[in-house]
Amino acid sequence: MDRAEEAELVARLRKGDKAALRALYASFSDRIFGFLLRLTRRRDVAEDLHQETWVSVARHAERLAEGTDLPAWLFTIARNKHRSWRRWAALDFTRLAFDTDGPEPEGTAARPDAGDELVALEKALEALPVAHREVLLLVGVEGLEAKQAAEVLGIQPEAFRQRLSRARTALAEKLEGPARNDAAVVR
Amino acid sequence: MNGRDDDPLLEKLRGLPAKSLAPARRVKALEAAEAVLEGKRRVGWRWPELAMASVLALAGALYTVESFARIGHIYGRSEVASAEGVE
Repeated sequence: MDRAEEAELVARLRKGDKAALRALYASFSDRIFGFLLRLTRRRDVAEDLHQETWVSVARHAERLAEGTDLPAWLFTIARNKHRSWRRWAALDFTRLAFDTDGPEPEGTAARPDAGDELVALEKALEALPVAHREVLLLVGVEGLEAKQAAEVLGIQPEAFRQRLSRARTALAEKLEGPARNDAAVVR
Repeated sequence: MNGRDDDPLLEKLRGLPAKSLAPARRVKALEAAEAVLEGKRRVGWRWPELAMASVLALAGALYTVESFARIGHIYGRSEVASAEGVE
């Protein structure tokens, strides 16, 4: 989706156009779900948060500003839903029991067709703290630009570069041990 | 240009398989969002309610005017009477 299409979609969303919502959903639904699934590591929670994200999108569509960066906006909403869930889940003891069990069977390890390298990468990613995981998911998996990812995380570009560098180093250590230490090049 | 340029490790992340929703859940989420969008759409004029409100407002206004007219009539008479008495 180029900038012109995005601007047109924003204009239609502001008018409450259902077809525009469907088009946006078709483009981003799976990406948002994948982002939430890798953050929560639970399919049931990810499905709920995904739905809440899109309900919020519909609720606030008419207040979109012209020139809104749609991917950044969508991932910001999804991330906020996840943060909100984490706050509430901190009081839920059943979740603590889940965390001791590790990732649910939905993970990559359950798929026999997945390559060993991808399985290891997925596992390493799952083992990272949320702050590291979300920056890697936004940049690495979703391919957001540095500016967009910084906007989603609500941090300055310099802080974003540092966080990405730390996250990248942590991921490399999980994959290959602490020896590998080359920093990410971020533009 | 994005944040993972020139970084093979970040580039590898791009190769992770996409996750997808179950079809039923996918439809459910879209329907929920559409229902919210539909609910937020500005409703048209509700003519029966508008007609009823107009009638009540008019009746209230007439009653108020009539009440002031009665009061004015009562006071008006006494003023006239007192004025006549002075003369």
